[in-house]
Amino acid sequence: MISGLGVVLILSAGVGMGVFRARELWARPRQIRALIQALSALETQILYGEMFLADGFRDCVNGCGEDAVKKMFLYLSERLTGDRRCRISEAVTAMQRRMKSDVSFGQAEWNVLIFLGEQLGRTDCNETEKQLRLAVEQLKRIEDTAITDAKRKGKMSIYIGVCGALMMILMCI
Amino acid sequence: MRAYNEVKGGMNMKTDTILEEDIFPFLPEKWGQVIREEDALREERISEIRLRVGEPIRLRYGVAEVAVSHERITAQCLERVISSCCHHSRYAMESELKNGYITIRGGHRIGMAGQAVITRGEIKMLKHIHSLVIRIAREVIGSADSILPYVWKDGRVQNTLIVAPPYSGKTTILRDLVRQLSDGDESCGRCGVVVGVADERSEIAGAYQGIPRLNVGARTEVIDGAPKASAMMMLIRAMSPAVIVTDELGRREDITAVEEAVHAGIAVMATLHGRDIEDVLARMNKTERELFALFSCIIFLDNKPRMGTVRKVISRDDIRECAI
Repeated sequence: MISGLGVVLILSAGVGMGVFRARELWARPRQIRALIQALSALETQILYGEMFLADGFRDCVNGCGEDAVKKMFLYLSERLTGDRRCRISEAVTAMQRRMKSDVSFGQAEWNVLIFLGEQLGRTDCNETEKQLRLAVEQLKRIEDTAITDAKRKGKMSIYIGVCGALMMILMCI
Repeated sequence: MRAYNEVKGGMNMKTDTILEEDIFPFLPEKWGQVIREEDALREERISEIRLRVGEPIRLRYGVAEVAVSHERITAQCLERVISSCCHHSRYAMESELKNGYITIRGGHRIGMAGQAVITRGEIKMLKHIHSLVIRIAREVIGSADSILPYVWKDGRVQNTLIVAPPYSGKTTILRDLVRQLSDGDESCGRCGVVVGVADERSEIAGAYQGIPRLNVGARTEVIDGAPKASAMMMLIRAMSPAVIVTDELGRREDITAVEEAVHAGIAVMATLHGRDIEDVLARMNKTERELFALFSCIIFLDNKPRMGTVRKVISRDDIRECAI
């Protein structure tokens, strides 16, 4: 009876760990999707309302489900509002340093954001629209890769979890 | 004749507060410090800060200009100041930048000089900006006291044109007129009226994100950032003002909008660049001269001996003669 319970416990722990790791892997495409939505909303704020970037960063994440992405944009907004001398590129770099561990972004996403930070707000509406669309397109491509990765590695994580648990049970027996 | 510099230190916002809150956040800290030090030594208030590449910072006190610090301004620093003043969002100030200026919170205007980029015969933007001039907008409560009797006559607002050369305090006086007319003064039997302000350059109300930051009265409606003529028409159609106020008339469509307002029974108060009547008339063709016939009162201001000095007031009959 007790050994049966132990087997069930080990097996569920192994599966649980695998699922947890798979969820972590799926966080990346989810966050990229949230980032794409935020940048599209930012484009609307800029083109329709000619909103300043500090206000745009704050409003573009209204209703965003991904807390980590929301925090990133709110940090940018606060940084720019708090220090009027702070450039967008400086704010983005500071945000990366501060929040790198809070999000599941890879270097490719950060590179897109840093490049965008260098360009954003320095030109007129048309050019700003182009820069944002370019960033969104690049992020979509990264998202596709991230989804393929998450699918492959997610399944693999669950299998490893199950196999690990079984191996442990066998070793115990 | 009263000049508004006399009210320094009275109920008005002190220079320090204006500089600290509205101007210094956009300048490098070091520059703020040297300006602060210079300003502490002066009786008068700064009216202008001039920043030019390769030159020291220059401050204007009334008609006098002084250079502060030995350090020369670099192009990179100036570029950074411009970016800060635009809130790092140049697209939001596109139309203003095309005209060579931007207006920041508080109604302070920043003029720019540089190389124009032309696309399809129109100025697209300025590049290689080498010079900035920050004109500090001041709210001087009571500065319009001396001209109010000419503007409010026989229980109603007269169509009034204020003519003055640069640095004479046109906008400051106009703003105080707006406040006084809007709030009214029961002790004088003057009731407050709805005033519509067509504030193309955000200088009268100093609006930031649509909300007036300077005191323009309780019954004042402001259309901020729109071309004067369009804003005046919007106010006539939508806000039922008793008075429409605008700054610096000049274009043909502005004059048409003034005519529309007058024909709709709305009083108009406006300003115009000029030294005297001859100077103004010399710049106008016959149709534009008819503008004068629309006004019941023209007030000429001067910056001598002090900014905001009323030099001459022309009433209705004299104006008709001028228009002819």
